[in-house]
Amino acid sequence: MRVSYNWLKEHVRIRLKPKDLADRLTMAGLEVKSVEKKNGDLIFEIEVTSNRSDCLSIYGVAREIQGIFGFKLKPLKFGLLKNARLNKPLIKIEDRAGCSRYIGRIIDGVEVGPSPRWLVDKIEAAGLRPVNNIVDITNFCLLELGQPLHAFDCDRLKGGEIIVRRARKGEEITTIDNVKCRLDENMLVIADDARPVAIAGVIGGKDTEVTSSTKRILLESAYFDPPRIRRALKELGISTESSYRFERGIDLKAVPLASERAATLICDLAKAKAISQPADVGIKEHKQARINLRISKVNKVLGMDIATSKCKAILRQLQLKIRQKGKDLLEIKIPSFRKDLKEEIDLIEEIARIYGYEKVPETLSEIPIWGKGSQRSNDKIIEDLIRTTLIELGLNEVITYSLGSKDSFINKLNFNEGELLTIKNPLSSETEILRPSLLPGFLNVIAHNLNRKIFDIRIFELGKSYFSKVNGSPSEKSILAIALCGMRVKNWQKKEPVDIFDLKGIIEALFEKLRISRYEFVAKPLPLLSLAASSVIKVRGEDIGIFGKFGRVILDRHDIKHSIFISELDLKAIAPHIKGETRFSGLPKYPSVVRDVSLIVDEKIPNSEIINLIRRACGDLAVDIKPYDLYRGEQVPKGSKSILYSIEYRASDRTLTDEEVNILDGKLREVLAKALNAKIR
Amino acid sequence: MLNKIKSTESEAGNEISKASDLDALDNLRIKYLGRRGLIAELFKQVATTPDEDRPKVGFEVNSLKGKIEKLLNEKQSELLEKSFLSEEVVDLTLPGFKPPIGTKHPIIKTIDKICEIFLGLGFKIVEGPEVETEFYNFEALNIPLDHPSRDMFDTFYIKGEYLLRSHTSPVQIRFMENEKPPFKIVVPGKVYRPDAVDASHSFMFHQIEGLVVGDDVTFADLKGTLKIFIKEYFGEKVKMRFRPHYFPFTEPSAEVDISCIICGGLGCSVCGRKGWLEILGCGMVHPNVFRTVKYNSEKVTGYAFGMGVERIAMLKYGISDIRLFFENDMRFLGQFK
Repeated sequence: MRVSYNWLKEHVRIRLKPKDLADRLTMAGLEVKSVEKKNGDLIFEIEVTSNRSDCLSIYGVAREIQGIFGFKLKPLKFGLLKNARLNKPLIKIEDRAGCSRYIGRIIDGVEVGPSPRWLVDKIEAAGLRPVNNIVDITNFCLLELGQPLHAFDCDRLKGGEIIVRRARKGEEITTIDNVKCRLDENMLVIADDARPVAIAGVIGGKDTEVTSSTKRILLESAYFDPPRIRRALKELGISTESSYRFERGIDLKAVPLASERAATLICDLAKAKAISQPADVGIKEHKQARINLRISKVNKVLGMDIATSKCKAILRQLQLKIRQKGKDLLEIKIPSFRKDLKEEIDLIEEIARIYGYEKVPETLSEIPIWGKGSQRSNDKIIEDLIRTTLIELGLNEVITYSLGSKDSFINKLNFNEGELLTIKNPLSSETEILRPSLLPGFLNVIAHNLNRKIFDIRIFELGKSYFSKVNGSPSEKSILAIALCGMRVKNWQKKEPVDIFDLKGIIEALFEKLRISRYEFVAKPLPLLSLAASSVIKVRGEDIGIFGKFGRVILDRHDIKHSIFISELDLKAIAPHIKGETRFSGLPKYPSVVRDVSLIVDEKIPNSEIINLIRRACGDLAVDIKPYDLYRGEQVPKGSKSILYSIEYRASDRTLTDEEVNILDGKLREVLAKALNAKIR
Repeated sequence: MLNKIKSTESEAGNEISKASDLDALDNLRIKYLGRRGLIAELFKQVATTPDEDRPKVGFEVNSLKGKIEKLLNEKQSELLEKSFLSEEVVDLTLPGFKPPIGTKHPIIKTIDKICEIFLGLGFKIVEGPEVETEFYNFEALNIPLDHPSRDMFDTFYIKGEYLLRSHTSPVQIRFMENEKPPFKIVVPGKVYRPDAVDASHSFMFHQIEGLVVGDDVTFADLKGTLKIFIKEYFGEKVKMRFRPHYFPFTEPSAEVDISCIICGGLGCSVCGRKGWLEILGCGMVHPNVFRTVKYNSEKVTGYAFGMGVERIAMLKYGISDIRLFFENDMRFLGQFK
């Protein structure tokens, strides 16, 4: 809110330099964002928090300055109203919950025209646009007293009565901004006999606005229910100076004050010929709140020792009335303008901020530890372990957006629209969809980097993906995603493109670190992935993720020409398979013997099948079996491959003899030859 | 014996002069000067020469050792010089075969560093869901429907009562529903608000929330704890100030400023010439929040604080555009090793 320093001085004696005033207001909770020089005045840009509607006016800020510094507030002085001889207008409040009080006055014979300089200056200082003397006077009162007013052209009102009522379904109004609004029953309107003439507390109607030809006006000053106003303006998407104050709550006691203030000014500046007595409908005041305050509680919450006399002095300065009910107990009467003070803790805050937060000591609570359980959850420990492992393996952690566009998910990635979770109020197309997978975000990261000629990309992300539960409610799960692209980074002299086994190796290393065993990569065609390399990862038969290479069609839609290898793992599915710290198993006591076996087999027989056969044939004595050479080409028949395995034999209770191993080796060769129709070399 | 010394000398001189490369020269060094070399052999024989000859012979062997060393060193320099021109010596200015170094995302790095400080102060790390409900995100936190305080928390809605949390505070409620005080927790996580993306706004960002509840937790404790955090994270010289503010779920509430870490409080473009940087919001837990989770608000007190991770990371690392965090340019990430 823009506050004129000169105007402020009309209401309170300020005994501080403007700069000091600004600093100290800030430190007392009325934050002065900036101070700007303008036409011999200073404009304070003040941030009024949403609980302090009482400070949304010059007088309110002046009153707050009195409360903070004890400076003298000047009494409000209005001129005298003459010629109050017209009949009161007829006012009916149909919706009492929506409107507590409505004061209307008729003012006749006004001359609508430009405002005098002093008024224009004040309106402009506040950042508003001068319109004509009548409108400017209503705005002046809003700015000065925080009470929004409205002036209707009385001759354009139909019938003899002003009604405050709920809008009827389907009713429409064109506002003074020339916007046609459809109203509903939740909205409060001011209506004449025929139609709504204003959306209560929000904006007036075009039909009845004050124009240069207006002669007779109806001046409205009212109190509208804040939630009702707020709902209406959210629904309509309108926000005005009036609605801003009504939705935060105004001071019921300012309703007659502002009405009188405006009426006097109109009589004076618009040369009104006659005026009516006010028609004042509704309640005159809300019940005044009383709050019990214990000085011991003040000090318990703040952790210090403020004297009772100091507390009382602060409260008094804030215009709160005190009744001592006991040695420690005060009863505090809350004035109508401080709606934010609802219970004891609110008063404690008042004492603290006026006393000064800087005077509160700095201590440490005596709670020694965090409470139950461990300091980090199991999920957190696992995530941290995954993160450090992947970083050790040379991957870069990324964070991609959890939201994306319909276009990217549906058109570019073939997701089914019905299965996607959507945002009801997306800000832009980039925030329409809650991601069902982290991979689309990875495509964006990779495309971004490739476009900048960065080709070697090794990334991972630990984040959430989102899905609908069976009952339809939205939910989320923790995901690890990894992607590789570009060159293998081992040796600058020998550049080779990464392939699927680089990624597989990373996952194997990660599983080794997490002590996950008995996992397998099972080929399966999956959406997004290339048929040539597409698999699910299973641990003990359970699906825990996917693994493979992005399909070319998907890549083409992202204008990517490089191969990208990706994996996405479900952390919740992995968690049960992670083993805790192992016990040391001792070093082998006896030496091992290594034998090789080389076989030529049908190309389609996978390594896993051969290894399983070897394991079965050799039993526990084969402690390590690994392939170490693979050949396809001229030296072997077409459709075959030559593959070499090295098998390490060891017994835990003796040194194996050559004969023993020879027997095992011989048996193995027989089994392989027979089972695989292999040629053993 | 003296003859033998003579012949060794001439043989060594001959062989060393003929050595064609550093490898051959190393062999000769071992042959003559090695642990079982010819000189060592001669020294052994000195011990067996008659007493009267021994000083002289000993002297000769010693001087031979000196001569051979000199010859070897001279030859070595000569060969080294030559070989620099050939390919025999590796060019150690070439890059090594460096294994790749991975990097932690700067946001995670910042979260970890902040959490580490609070772990040291005896806090526990707790996390909660991003998909939340109206109740946890608003109502339980004393932010009623149709109240202007909701404007502080623009929110993405999914369907029905479901939304993407606009702050990490819902985790306070979830935790308190299941646990009894006393406790000290910190809650890192992603939050979402429908903000148009520009250099300082993002619809997705991260927060760290703190909550301490117990029998005698005070506003002074809040100040003391945050002071330790700020000095530990931003440095011993940094000053802290508490400014009264309004949050629906805390009372009294404050915003916390630190003296500008760029200009030291003199005023610069980063702090908007104010000398202070706002870094977090905090306060004493509002009794209404305790009532919602069925704590006795007469008996327990507590404090809560919350900070934006991106803002802190931007200040710490001197990053001026928040979008860099989510673009994931390898040249950006690579700087946070």
